[in-house]
Amino acid sequence: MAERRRSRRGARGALIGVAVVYVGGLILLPLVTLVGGAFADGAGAFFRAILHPDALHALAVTGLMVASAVVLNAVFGTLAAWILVRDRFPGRKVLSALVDVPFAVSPVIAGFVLIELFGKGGLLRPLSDALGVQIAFALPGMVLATTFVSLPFVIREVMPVLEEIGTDQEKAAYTLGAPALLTFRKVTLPAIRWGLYYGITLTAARAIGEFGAVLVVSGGVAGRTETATSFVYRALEDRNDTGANAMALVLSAASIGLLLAMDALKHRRAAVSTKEVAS
Amino acid sequence: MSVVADGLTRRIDGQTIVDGVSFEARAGEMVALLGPSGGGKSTVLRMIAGLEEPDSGEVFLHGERATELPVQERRVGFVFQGYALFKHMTVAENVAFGLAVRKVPRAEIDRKVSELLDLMELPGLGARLPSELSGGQRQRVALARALAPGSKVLLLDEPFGALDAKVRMSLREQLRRLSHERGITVVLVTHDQEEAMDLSDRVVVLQRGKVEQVGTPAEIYDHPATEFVASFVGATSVLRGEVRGGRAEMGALQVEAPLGEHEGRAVTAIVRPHDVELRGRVGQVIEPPRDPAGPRVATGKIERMSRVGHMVKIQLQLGDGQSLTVEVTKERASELGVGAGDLVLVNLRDAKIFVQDYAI
Repeated sequence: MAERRRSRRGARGALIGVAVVYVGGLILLPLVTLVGGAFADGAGAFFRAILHPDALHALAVTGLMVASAVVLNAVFGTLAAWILVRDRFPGRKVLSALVDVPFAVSPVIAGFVLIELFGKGGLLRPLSDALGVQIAFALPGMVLATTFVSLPFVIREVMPVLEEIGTDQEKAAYTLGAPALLTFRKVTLPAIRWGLYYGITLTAARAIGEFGAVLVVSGGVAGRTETATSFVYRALEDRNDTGANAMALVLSAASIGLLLAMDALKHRRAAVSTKEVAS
Repeated sequence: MSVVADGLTRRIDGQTIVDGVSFEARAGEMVALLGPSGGGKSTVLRMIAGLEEPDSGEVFLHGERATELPVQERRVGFVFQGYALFKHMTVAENVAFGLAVRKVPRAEIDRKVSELLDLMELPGLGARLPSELSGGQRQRVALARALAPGSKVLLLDEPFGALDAKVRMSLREQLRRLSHERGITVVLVTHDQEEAMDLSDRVVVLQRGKVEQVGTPAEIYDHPATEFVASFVGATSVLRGEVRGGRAEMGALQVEAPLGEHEGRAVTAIVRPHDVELRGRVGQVIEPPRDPAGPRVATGKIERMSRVGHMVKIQLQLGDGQSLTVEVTKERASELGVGAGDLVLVNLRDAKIFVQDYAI
């Protein structure tokens, strides 16, 4: 009896060991390596690397990408989710399926298509020329690419919430005299806010990490169109290990920060939705 | 403010959900739309509110054509089946919403909200969230919110459906008082015939999108216009039979009726439980020599007996296999000393007889 219990405890211990090695080895070890690499030549080298004009510029470009993707996807994603849930029109199902395309298609292809469209002789080149904006190999193209790859998040997070709340609260607002826009602002938006925040956090995380699409569309010119991730890539190629490590550490810290925010949101959302379901 | 529905018709996906519904709720009147689920009652209510557009027909509010008026401008209070309270707002914010939308000054909003919360017996609950209230309290918040903008018309969709019997009773009373004191016209949708009869001045019975009958609760109960109304309103048994010798004969039972011209045709008898006379156990009752003009007596077997308040409900199976429900007082039941399985003798005092679409 006691022996069997002991052997069972032994098996459990072995399983825990596997889990620790798996998670620790694949996640913790690289993180530790990052920190070690970034500070290998001391804190001074780390700060010199991260405060280098190219690095700062790359961070600023990434910041711009994140901000643009978040704003564009929050506004148009909410609108799209709204229309996909509330309206019935021919082709709605097809449109809803199309939303997931950015998940399925490689970002590199997304960047490539943008170059094809807006590059020399591209189909939409006359349009961008007429508007006087350069899209290929420039920031607007990078914004488009980042927005594209992170497009599904807000829509996919907001749609189920919209479905769940139904239309009765909105209709109640109408009967109380509220016009559609006011109803959206005062009734619908507060009801979907946690889903929206969650979608925004995911969008930001995706935008920070984006590499392929943005690199292809921009060419990654240092000091101009280089993002933080392409900075890491170039630093590696240039054997600037401290620079690559420092930037990678900053990016990871930002991502982990977002992850924590996401976790907090998820808890908050769960708490709110159980409370609201109860009512 | 009166509410008039005039020939309202609504089709969804080629199906006619509401078919030419007309009725009027006079100012200060309470009217119930009664019928089985899926009969189009809620759609009628939503068309009156402007939440749905009729395919044809008109809505008049206070004598003025409102069919094309947007929902925001109809100024009718609407209470949704699930209350549809704004979940992220407090009780006070919910009630204040309709006033804030109309740009009522803050001080007046506060005054009106606290007045309404007092009226609906919700004092001190203004700071709560809807999730922190009981079902009955939520219902009262929904009422207060609908009344706040000063609506003189209240439309209620199955208002008491999800509440327990006691809360339902007290809310009914509150609604009745409210309508009375404030002269508010109420149109409510319900599938509960007891609720409709108890609450309303007039009842509109709807089935499959069509009006079966409009009348006071007494008219509906005593003079049902159709077989559907007779069977839907009040507890009833349905017996099938035919016209024979100018009478409706259902197996051994019969009812006197001037049906000579329908000789031989099939009839349906709708029998109220209190219109059945339970004479006693077979063998125990000394049957008088059969009077050919007197009521005909049938034998039935007691399937089930149940106590409902002061009454005893007895379910019988008649000799020809049809079921019949009888209701007697508990004193009468113990006097007769009958129990499940007993064979008893019954006759009909009255019944509503329908020959196809022809009603007596």
